[in-house]
This record gives sequence, C-alpha cells and structure tokens, in this order.
Amino acid sequence: MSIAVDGVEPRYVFVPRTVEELLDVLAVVERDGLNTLIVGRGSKLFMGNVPRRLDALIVVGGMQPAVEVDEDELVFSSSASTSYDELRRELNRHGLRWPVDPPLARFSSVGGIVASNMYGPMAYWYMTPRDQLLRVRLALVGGSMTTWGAGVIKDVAGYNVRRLVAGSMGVLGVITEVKMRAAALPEEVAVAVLDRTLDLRALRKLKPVGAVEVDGRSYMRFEGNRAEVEYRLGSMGAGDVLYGREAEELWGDLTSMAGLFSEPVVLKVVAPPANLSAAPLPQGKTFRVPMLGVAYVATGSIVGLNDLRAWASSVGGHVAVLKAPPEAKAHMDVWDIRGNRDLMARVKEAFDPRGLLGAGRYI
Amino acid sequence: MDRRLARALASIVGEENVLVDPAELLVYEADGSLVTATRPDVVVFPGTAEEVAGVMRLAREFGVPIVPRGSGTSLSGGAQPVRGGIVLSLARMNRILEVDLDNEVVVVEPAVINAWVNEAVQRAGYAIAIDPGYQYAPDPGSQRVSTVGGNVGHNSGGIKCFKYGVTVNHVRGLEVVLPNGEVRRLGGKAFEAPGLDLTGLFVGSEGTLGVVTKVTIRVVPLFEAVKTILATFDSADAAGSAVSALVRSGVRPLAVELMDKEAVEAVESGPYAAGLPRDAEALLLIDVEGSEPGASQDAEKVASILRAHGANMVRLASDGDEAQKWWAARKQAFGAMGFVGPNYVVEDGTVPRKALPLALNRIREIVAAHGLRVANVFHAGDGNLHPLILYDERDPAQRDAALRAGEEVLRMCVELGGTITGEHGVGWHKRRLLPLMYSEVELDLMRRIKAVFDPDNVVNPGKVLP
Ligand SMILES: Cc1cc2nc3c(=O)[nH]c(=O)nc-3n(C[C@H](O)[C@H](O)[C@H](O)COP(=O)(O)OP(=O)(O)OC[C@H]3O[C@@H](n4cnc5c(N)ncnc54)[C@H](O)[C@@H]3O)c2cc1C
Repeated sequence: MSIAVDGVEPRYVFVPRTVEELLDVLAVVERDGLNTLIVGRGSKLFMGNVPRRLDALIVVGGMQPAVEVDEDELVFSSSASTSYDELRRELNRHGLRWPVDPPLARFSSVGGIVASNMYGPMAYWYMTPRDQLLRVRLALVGGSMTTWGAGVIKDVAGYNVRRLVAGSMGVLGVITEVKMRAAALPEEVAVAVLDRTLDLRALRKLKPVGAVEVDGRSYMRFEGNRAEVEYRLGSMGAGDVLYGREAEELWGDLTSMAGLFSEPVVLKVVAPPANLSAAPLPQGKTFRVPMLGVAYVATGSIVGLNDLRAWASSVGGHVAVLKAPPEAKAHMDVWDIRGNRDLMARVKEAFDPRGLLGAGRYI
Repeated sequence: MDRRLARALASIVGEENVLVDPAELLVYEADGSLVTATRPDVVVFPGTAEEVAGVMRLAREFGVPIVPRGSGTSLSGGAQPVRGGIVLSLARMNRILEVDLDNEVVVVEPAVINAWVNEAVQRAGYAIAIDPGYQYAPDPGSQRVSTVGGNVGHNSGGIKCFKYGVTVNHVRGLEVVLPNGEVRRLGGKAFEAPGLDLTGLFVGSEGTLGVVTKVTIRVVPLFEAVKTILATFDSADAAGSAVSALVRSGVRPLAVELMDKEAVEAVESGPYAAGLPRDAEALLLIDVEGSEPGASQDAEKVASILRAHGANMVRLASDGDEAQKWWAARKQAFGAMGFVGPNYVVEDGTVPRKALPLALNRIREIVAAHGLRVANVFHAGDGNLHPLILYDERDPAQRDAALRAGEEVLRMCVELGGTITGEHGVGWHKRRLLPLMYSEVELDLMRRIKAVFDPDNVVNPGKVLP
C-alpha cells in the first residue's frame, strides 16, 4: 500500500485490524521513534501542514466497525473506523440520528469527524462533535489505552480532556471509540429554498436549525414536530419546500460539499457572524453558513490569502487553508493559529512527550 | 502571615482591597459546601487583569497558594483555601463589558452574577427589538448569586442544560491570567478558534490552571412559547421511568426536573410555596418550547406519555405566572431544606437515565443504613442526582455519617456507569474519589496538563487531582 501525504511517502504503512494490534503498532512507534500520522478513511488527507518528517502512517479505517445504540439514553458508541454512512443507517434503524452535517461526511469515518471536529450548518442548534462527545477512548504512543469521560450526559470529573481530543487532528493519540449524544429522528424535516439571500437578522428570525447560502440562494432546514415546521415555513412566505427524504437528500448533497472540495484550493473563513458579509472573499465557489459566521471558498490558488487573513485577524477570526498544493502550503501555517501555540505544544507534549504524532501537520 | 506579603499585595491592589483581620477572614474560610473550614492568610480584591497578574507573580515569589473565588457557592470545596494562602476574590471585576446581539455573544468580567446576564440581554433585546429576544441558557440553582467566573470554574449546569448543554457549551472565549502572570486570550467571538481547545480545557478546571478575568459567552434565541407541565407519581422510580420514555419519544424538552416528597414538603413549608401537591411521592416539572402551535403539540405529547407511564395527575400551567411560581419553588429547593432538617450534604453523581429508578432506591437504602433522611431534587433529564442528606451539625457523628453516606452514593453512581460529579465539580471533597473513574496513566496525564500551566502548583492546590 502506498499513500503519499502532500507528496511525502512514509516508509511504513500500518493497517491494524484490532485495538490490540493498534496498541502494538503504537509501542513500535515509540520504540523506534517513528514520526507518524494517523489516517481514518483518508478523506481529509490533504488537510494540514506539509509533514516535516514522515516515517509511518497508521490507517485506522481498516479496523472492525462497531456501533452500539442505546435508545433509552439517546446515545451511541461507535468505533472510530465506522463510516459516517454506516453509522447513519444503524442509528436510523433505531429511530435516531447523529445530528451533525460536516463537509465530506459521506467519505468520512466517525473517528475522522471527531478528530477534526468538522461541523456543518446544523451546529447552530446541535453544536459541534466536540460538544456532543461524552466519552472517548484514546490510544497513546507507547501503547497505553486511556478513556476520557464517564459517557453520561453530564460529567465534570477531572479535566475536560475530551474537548482537547476532539479536533486534535490525531496529534494527541489515536481515537479508537467515541460515545456521543444522539437525537431522535424528528417528526418532520423540511428544507426551504429561496432564490435570494437574507439579512442575518431576518434569517435568524425564521429560526431554521441551519442555513446555507450557495450561488445567491438560501437553503434553510427546519425540523421538529409537524405544527412547529409548518409554523416556521408559514412565517417564511414564498419559496420552494422539500420534505422528508427529499429534504434530507438535498441537505446531505449540499453540506457534504463534494464539488467544492474537488477544487485545488479550499479556504475556510471563520469570523464573528455579523462580520462575515464584509469578508473580502476571493473569487470562486462559496458555501456560506451565515448563522455561524463560516464560509468555505474554493479557488484555483491562494492568491489574496494574506489580505483575507489580515481582515479575519482584524475582526477576531481566522482563515484555515483546508486544501492546497504542497508547494503553496510549504511556507505557512495552514491552520492560522496565532496565539497560544506554546501552550498547545506543551499540552501536546503531555500526551506525546517525544512529539512523534502529527509530524508538524497541526501544532 | 508574612507582613511583607500583605504590604506587597497592597502595593498592587491598594490597601483598601486587602483583608488580613481574622474576623474578616472568617467569611472566606468555607464555601457553599459548608462542611469544612480553613482560614486564608489574606484576601485580595484585584480590579483588573493586570492586578491579578501582579498578585499571581507575588504568590509565586512568596511560594503561597492562591485560591480564586467568585461568590463562594461551590458545593465541592472548590473555593475553600484548604492550604491557607491568598484568597483572590474577583468581586470587584463585575462589569458587563459588552452585549453584542449581532454576534449573539456577551462579554463579561468574571464576577458578573449569572442572572445579570439575562437581565442585560433582555434590556438590549427591547432596544433593538429582536423578537422574541435572547437568553443565556446555563442556569444553576444558584444563578442569582453565583458568578459567571465561578460557573466557568466548575463548568456548571442547570435546569435548561438538558437541551442547551452546560457552561462549556456556551463559552466562546476567555481572558485568563496564568500562574506566571501572563495574560492570555483564548478564543473570542467567532464560532470556532483554530488549534487545540484550550478554552474548553479551562472551563471546568476549577481555578487550578489560572484565573479567568474575562468571559465571552454565547446567548441563544428565545422561542415564542414555553409550556410548563407538572405531573405527579406514586413513586420516584415511576417518575424516573417516565423520564426515560419521554426522552426516547423524540420531544426535546427544555428542562426535566424531579422532586420527591421530602423535597416538596420542604419548599411548601417555606416562603416559595407554590401549591405543589404534598401528597405525591414524586413530581416532575417539564418545560417544552417552540412556536405557539409547536410547543402546544409537544406539551400534549409529553402529557400523554406521562399518563401512559403512570402519572396520576398531569397539569399544564395555566399561564406564565403559575409556571414561574412552580419553577421558583424548584429553584429554592436547596435553600428550603432548613424547613425539614438543619443541615445537609448535597451530592451530585450522575447515572445513565435508565438507571435512575435503581439509583433512587439505592440512595434511600444507603442513607437509611446511616440512620439519616434524604430529600431528592434533581435534573432527571440528565440523570444528574442531587440527594440532600439531612443531618444536624450539633451532633458530629451525624455529620460524619452524612459524609460517609454521600461517598457511598457516589461510588454507587460510578458502579452504575456514571460519574462522581455531574456539575458541582471535584473540588476538595471528591478528589479522593477521582481514581474511581481514572487510571493512574490518566491521572498522571492530567497532572502533566496541570504542570503545563502551573508547574509550581500555585493556583488552587489540593483541588481536583488526588
Ligand atoms: C443553593 C445552591 C444551588 C446550586 N445549584 C447549582 C446548580 O443547579 N448547578 C450547578 O452546577 N451548581 C450549582 N450550585 C453550585 C455553585 O453555585 C456553582 O458551582 C457555581 O458555579 C459557583 O459559582 P461561584 O461564583 O460561587 O464560584 P466559587 O464557589 O467562588 O468558585 C467555584 C470554583 O471556581 C473557581 N473560580 C471562581 N472564580 C474563578 C475565576 N475567575 N477564575 C478561575 N477560577 C475561578 C474557584 O476557585 C472554585 O474552584 C449551587 C450552589 C448552591 C449554594
């Protein structure tokens, strides 16, 4: 198996099939001092700084998928390797769902979504995977297994390591299993399409669960009981409305952003929501999530990035370069982490004292 | 106490903001847990982050501990100066700095009282007419006295947290002073900050990583209608089972609270009596929200589920006033305990929701075995128990028995797959129990995280970690 990361080929690719094998691999990583990257299903392999050193890849996506659903508690446990689609089907069979709609969901593993803390427009109501994470099992370099969180809805015992692990891009350890809050399938789902965009206040007033702007159109998702959804749609006035499966399909296609991510450069702009409309976005395909103050832009190059970053910085936001050719990424921090890098690096060190995970991709 | 320290502190914050008189220090000996007391050497009241930083540097220099303190309502000994030293009270830093509804955030100094945020948001909401306005959702029972900084310290929960999440889910950004005196900004007004979630790590760190001097919190839009439902049951178990059925049904209630007969008896004996039925073994108080028709449909569904699961009586509050009276009674339940027993120890374990009936039975057995009585009033939707174990402090043996019973209850919670603390924090009282939940490898990792921020163990030593 050969996988290059930003053009850099690792010497070894480990594909453990079980947690035990993974722990053995992590012992070898420590013993031999291997600079290692963790990969789930590889859908986000383009994300991150160009690796400084790369000895080994650990592909977690090859491990046995497993999902356990607890309808009474409205929670589920999933192995990191389970694909988003497998999980969705399994939860739906129980009348439940994982209320997230991150980019590339259909190509992602559950572990990858949690490790990147990628979220979509529904995060306005349901927040991010980081907020929904109740327990995480994390294998450390050297081969010890750790568990963070009791797995119940409320738990403040000890430091909130869960929140560090979610979004850590595999630099603290390998996520093997997560337990998350689920939600019941709503009685009604509707997506309304308007052929114009709305002022932020007007949009908020309609109370969608999430809203997206693409190509000058607004897509608003409503869900809840029938009376609630009809009420919201009624207060919106004109527009096309899709319900049920059709609505879900449209929403899934939109929020997965497969087309946008097929372009060579993808930027993610995050700003306080009221500032977003003033962002000097470069030309290209855009996907805006106005209620969150997030926009994705796909372009041909990173021209204009510095100006955009300067603007974002001036309003308290940032611009991550999610995707770009290695030569364009070589001399920048793609994440746009400005402050507190030193603290982050030292926190990482607490988990991975020799700095073997991540190879400079993230922190 | 080293007089040089007091003088040096006074040079930073001004003499009038330093307390050394033993009579005045008395107030700072304990916090809301009121089970143990230890006197600080000195209390300081800095007014700015820079002054906090100066105090931190001095503490390091003199090698004395610092205990950050908001209103001191911690129920885990979090704000108690267990090793003496400096109590750093944030009380003077109590301004609401900005209500920014365009970005759905509010920026506050740490000693702003939780309830003030909602008052400010409401006022701002009238002014710019965002209908129907906003709220700051985390609402601990102590919200009229506890500070946002203290809420951040313990990652506090509350009644509405069933739907909206706890404090950490509402904190967008922090300004913190590290033990070495550096002032750092974590996060901000944007939905997401790049890199590891240091903001999330700080929330719930109980003042052991540094001092919070500014908080940016998100506020959430209000709905047009809230419906409040009251239901009574023949047993607390039956009420617990009804909660499971309710949650499974797909309704997303705003709040689901349970009170048992002893708790109802207490509130109905006090000034917040709301006409709650005293004869029921348990009652549930539930809020649903949405548009008028949406909330009404949910309320009907809730009522029919509760009836199908053994409720004797189900009532919808006739109007907002009645609902408010019921909720005020619930929120005063801890305070009202004085009407049924002189003192109490309150525990805060959480169990999986479906284990609630079993846990409630076990609590009664455990407490009875110690010859004591218990009242239960808690966040049933979250499985977050709050047994109030009643005792009389004039009899030291009773106090010890109450503490032992409390510890047994927490062990039981962990055995049932839960935690020793759902929202009150580990603090001082529960740190010995942390190893029930974490292995030595995990505890060691937490110690290393502490050392990243506080290598000399200056801020709130003796808390959280065993
Ligand atoms: C009647 C009553 C009802 C309660 N109900 C609830 C409830 O429903 N839910 C709930 O979660 N809790 C509840 N509590 C517990 C308590 O009110 C909360 O933990 C509250 O958040 C503490 O706030 P405080 O301002 O009193 O903080 P304190 O008690 O002063 O401090 C709490 C902790 O935070 C640290 N701290 C305080 N300020 C700062 C700062 N600026 N920077 C860093 N660290 C700091 C302290 O060192 C301490 O560890 C209740 C308490 C009482 C007495």
